[in-house]
Amino acid sequence: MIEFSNVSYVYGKHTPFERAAVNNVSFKIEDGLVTGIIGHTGSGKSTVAQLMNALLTPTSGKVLLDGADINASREISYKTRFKVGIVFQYPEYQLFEETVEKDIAYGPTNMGLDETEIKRRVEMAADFVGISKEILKSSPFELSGGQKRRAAIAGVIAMEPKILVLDEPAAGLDPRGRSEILGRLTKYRQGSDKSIVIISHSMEDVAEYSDRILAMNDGGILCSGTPSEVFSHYDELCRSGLALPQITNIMNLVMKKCKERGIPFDNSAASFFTVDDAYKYLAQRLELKSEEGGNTVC
Amino acid sequence: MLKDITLGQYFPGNSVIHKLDPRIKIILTIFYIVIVFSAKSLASFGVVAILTLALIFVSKISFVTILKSLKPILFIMIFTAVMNIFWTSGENVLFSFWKITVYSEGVRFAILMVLRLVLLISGTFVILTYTTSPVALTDAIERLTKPLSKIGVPTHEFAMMMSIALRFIPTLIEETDKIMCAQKARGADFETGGLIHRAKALVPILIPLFISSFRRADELAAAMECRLYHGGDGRTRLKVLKLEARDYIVSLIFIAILAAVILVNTQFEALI
Repeated sequence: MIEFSNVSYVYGKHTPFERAAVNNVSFKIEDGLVTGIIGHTGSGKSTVAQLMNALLTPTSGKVLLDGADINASREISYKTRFKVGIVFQYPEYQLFEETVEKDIAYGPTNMGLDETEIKRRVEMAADFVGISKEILKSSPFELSGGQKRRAAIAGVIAMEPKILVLDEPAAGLDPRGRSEILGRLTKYRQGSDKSIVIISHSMEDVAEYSDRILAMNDGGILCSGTPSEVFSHYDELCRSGLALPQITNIMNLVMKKCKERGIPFDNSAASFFTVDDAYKYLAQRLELKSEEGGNTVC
Repeated sequence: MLKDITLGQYFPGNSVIHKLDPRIKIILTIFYIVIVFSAKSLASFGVVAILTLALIFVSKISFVTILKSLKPILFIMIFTAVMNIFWTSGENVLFSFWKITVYSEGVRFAILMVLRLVLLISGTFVILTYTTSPVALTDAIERLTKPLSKIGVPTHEFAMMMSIALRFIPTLIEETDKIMCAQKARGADFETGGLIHRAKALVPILIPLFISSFRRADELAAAMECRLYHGGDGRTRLKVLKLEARDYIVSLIFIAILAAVILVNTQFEALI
C-alpha cells in the first residue's frame, strides 16, 4: 500500500519558473485494486506518479510504502523502484537495446537476478503483453508503434513490481490497441495482491477499468472513491475541466427526460459508466415495458 | 537534476535591459568585456562592479541565479587565485613559510583576477544570455553578420541553424530528463560506481536520445518544407529590429563608464 501524507512538490524552487505541481496531498493506494488517477493537463498527475517511486523527493510531506518512508535513504529509494514499477507516458522512447528481449531484461538485470530467473521473467512479461518469440529476437526499432509500446511495458512488468503505475498507457493507440492493452494490464493483479495505478485523462478508460478513482485538480485532490461516488460529483468535475464518461452523460439526459415524463428511473445515472452496464439496464427496462405492453421508449 | 542548469538560459522579463535592441546588446556585451579588461586598479573595478550591480538590479534577475551561474567557474576562480597568490613575485613580502613566499602584490593580483572573472561572467550573462531570448539573439547575429553575405557567406543559413540548435536545447534537456527518469524507474544507476560503470550507464540514455533527435529533425524538416521555407533571399521578417531612444541612452552610459574606468585607472592608481 502506498500512502501519501501531506505531500507537496515544487518544481524549480528559487527560480523565476517556480511552480507547485502537487499541493499538500494525502491519499492511499490500496492493495489488490486498480486505482485510476484522473485530472486535466497540468493537474499534477504525472508528478504524483514520479513521487510514488522516489524519482522525485517531496518538497514536504512523506510517501510511505507499506508504512516505511521511501525517501529515508538513497538505498531505500533505489529499492523502491523495483517494488513500484512506473511505465511513463510514451514509454516506447526509452527502448535502447539491440533486441526486444535484451531491452525487457534491462530492469531484471539491474535487480541483480540470476540468468534463469531473468529468462523466466522476460518470457512471462512478453507473454503477458502479447509479444511473440520472433519479435523478442528483433530490434525494438523495427516494430510498429503498438508493439513498441507493449515491449516497453513488458520492460517494467518483468521486474514484477508490487504496484504497477501506468502514465497514460493507451495514449496515441488506436481503439483496438487501447482496449487490448488496458484489458491485459488490469489482469496483472489477478490472483495476487498486486495493485495497479492508471493515470489518464480519458474518463472512459478510467471508468471501465478502475475500482477506485482519484480526481486531481490544480495539484490537489478534487474527490476520490469508487467510480460511482466520483462521478456523482458531476459539477465539480466539469468545473475542473474534466468530463464524465460519454455514456454517463447520455444516461443523465435519459434520466432527466424520463423524470419529465413521469417514467420511473430507479438507478442513479452516475452508476452507468460503461457501455455494458447502460446497455444491460436499458435492455432490461425495454423487456419490462414490452411485457407490460407499453409503448414508451425508455 | 538537469533542470537546474542555468548556464545560457533566458529568463523572460519586462525590464529595460530585456527591451534593448539585441544588436545593441551584442555590441554592448563586447564593450562590457573591453571595460572589464581595461579596469586595472581596485578603484576602477569598483566602478565596473557598480555598473554590474546596477545592471543586475535593473534586470530584476535574482542574485541566487547569478551565484548559480558562477558555480561552474568556481574551479577556474580558485585555480586562478591560487596561481596568482603563490606564483607572483613582487617587493612587499606578506609572509613566507618554508619555500613559499607570498607577496602582497600576489594577493592583490589574485583578488583582481577573481573579481574580473566574476564581473565578466555575471555582467555578460545579465546583458545577453539571461535577458535576451535565443530568437532575438540569432536575429541580431544574422543582422550584424549580414555584410558577410556579400562575399558569399551563407549568414542566413548559419543563423537559422543556430536558432534551431538553441530552440532545441531545452527540448533535449527535457527529453533527457524524461528518458533518465524512465531508465531510473527500471533500476538504472547513474550516480554510483567507477568511471567505466557510469559511462556504460549512459548508453540507455544516449541511444533513445539520438533516435528521438533524428526523428525530430525529420519532422522539423518536413514541417518547414510544408510551409515553403526557402532560405535567406527575399525573406521578410516578423519583427523588424529598430533602434529606440533607450538603446542610445544605455550605449552612452556604457561609453561614459569606459571613460570613467580609464580615468580612475590613471588618477587613483597611487591610492590603492
